[in-house]
Amino acid sequence: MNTNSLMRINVPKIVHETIDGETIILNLDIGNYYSLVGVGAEIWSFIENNATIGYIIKEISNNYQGDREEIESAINNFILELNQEGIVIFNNENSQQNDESAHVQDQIKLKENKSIFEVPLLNKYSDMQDLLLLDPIHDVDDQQGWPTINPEKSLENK
Amino acid sequence: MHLDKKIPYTSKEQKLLLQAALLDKEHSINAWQQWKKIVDLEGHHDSGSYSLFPLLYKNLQRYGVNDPFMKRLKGIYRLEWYKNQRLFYDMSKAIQYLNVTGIQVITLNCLALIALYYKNFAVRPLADLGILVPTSQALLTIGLLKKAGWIQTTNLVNDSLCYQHAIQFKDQSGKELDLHWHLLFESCQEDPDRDFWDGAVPIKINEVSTYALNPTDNLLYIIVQGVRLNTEPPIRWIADAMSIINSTNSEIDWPRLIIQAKKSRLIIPVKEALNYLYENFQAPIPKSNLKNMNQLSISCTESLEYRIMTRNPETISNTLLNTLLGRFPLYLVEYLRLTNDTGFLRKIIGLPKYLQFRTNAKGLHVLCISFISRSIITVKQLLSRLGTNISE
Repeated sequence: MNTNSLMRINVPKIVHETIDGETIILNLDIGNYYSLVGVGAEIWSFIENNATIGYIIKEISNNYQGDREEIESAINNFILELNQEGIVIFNNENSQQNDESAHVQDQIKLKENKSIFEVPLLNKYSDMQDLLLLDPIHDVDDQQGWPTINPEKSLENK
Repeated sequence: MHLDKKIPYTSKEQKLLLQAALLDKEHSINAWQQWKKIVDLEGHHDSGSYSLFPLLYKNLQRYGVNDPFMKRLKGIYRLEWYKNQRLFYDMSKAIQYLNVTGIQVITLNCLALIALYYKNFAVRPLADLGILVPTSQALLTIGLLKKAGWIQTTNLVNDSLCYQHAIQFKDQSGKELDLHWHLLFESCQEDPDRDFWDGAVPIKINEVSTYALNPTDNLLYIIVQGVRLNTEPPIRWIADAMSIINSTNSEIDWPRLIIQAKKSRLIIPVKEALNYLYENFQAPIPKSNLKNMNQLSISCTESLEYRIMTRNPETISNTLLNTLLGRFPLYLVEYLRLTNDTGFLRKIIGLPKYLQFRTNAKGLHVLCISFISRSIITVKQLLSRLGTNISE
């Protein structure tokens, strides 16, 4: 993986939407569902805007408190996982553009106050048959909503 | 077409929910607060209300509403997004299949609404795929769908297209497809259909090229579909109609809507629906157009039809005539609409077969037996009433 590598979202089989700080992703061919929040969702917004890995690492490091090497490693692992899940594809060509071009900067809002960096996680849900049967009002955790099961309900089932 | 109630169908709770899901910030939040006071959030929600939850979430989230129930509403939004995306993907393949085989298709219902007006995969639950094909290609399409594994779930009367406007299919996974060869049950004639085809607009569903009704015809279709009796509370039509009006208001050809409503003898439901949307949901309908609509004269035929169609069969007063005739007046009205272009003799000949189809009677003899037994019951009731009158 080259920091100048271009990558793109694997359309049309991957569809996604970001709502209220969370990115939800679906692989239409397999049916796997994914969720990204926090740093993961922020990285996604960079990917959507065709940023290179190097640029993402640089911007996240600027926006968050943490060891630069740890941040770089976590981001690389995260993007690799996205690639392994078939969500993101690397292009063979490297970016010849200067990532600091105005259009990329304009599209991505930089944070004023630095938060502590948290390792980005790709939450994957592959057992969708059971999740689709849940009552999304009564069977789910009322702080998370679907697809998080109500812990009391899952204890009952055991 | 049978209307259980006159417009509006909404209960007080449903109206508040719709207002919370559709209106501007002040009215939406106000409606949301009122709705929460009268509804048990942890209780059962009817399917019509549930289907609005993703739209409700989207609207409240836009206005920054912070409420404990929002977490679960967001979960419903995620769930419906997931389900819709998968259905959209599968259904676009069915359209592509018909495209490849040379069938012209106008995409109806949810798919077109999502693609053109909602432009969001979560807020409008996808129920089924609805398509309109030219009447001349209907039988061919039926054969092609069966060949592709779709199972026909409603019969064709006499294997003929005359008495119906659509039939239903299901695939192995339970997905439903409505195949229309006339857009509206109420208007199974070539002339209005030609207007709908001529006015159709090209769209893409998941990169698959197809057509949709233009905004004006789509609005007519949504209103007429929505005010029919359905197994679930038909309140979605309100959100659908508002999504069309709000997103394409400048493109609605209000004079055309009036012309189409007149052609199909549907002035009353369209007029009532538009007034209802205007008064309750701030629909941006130009006052002059509403006025024109309200001033239209209604034919005696349409008035009589409307009265028959809006009778609730469970609450029909127990008159002797109703005992004798039952739903016959309704079936007759439906039949006359379906055979509007047919000669009188053919109408008479076809009526028994249509009644058989509508009553699921296994043969004409069953219809006769049913009529005889109704007559006997009617005579008994008459004698009983006469006896009561005499003793008084």
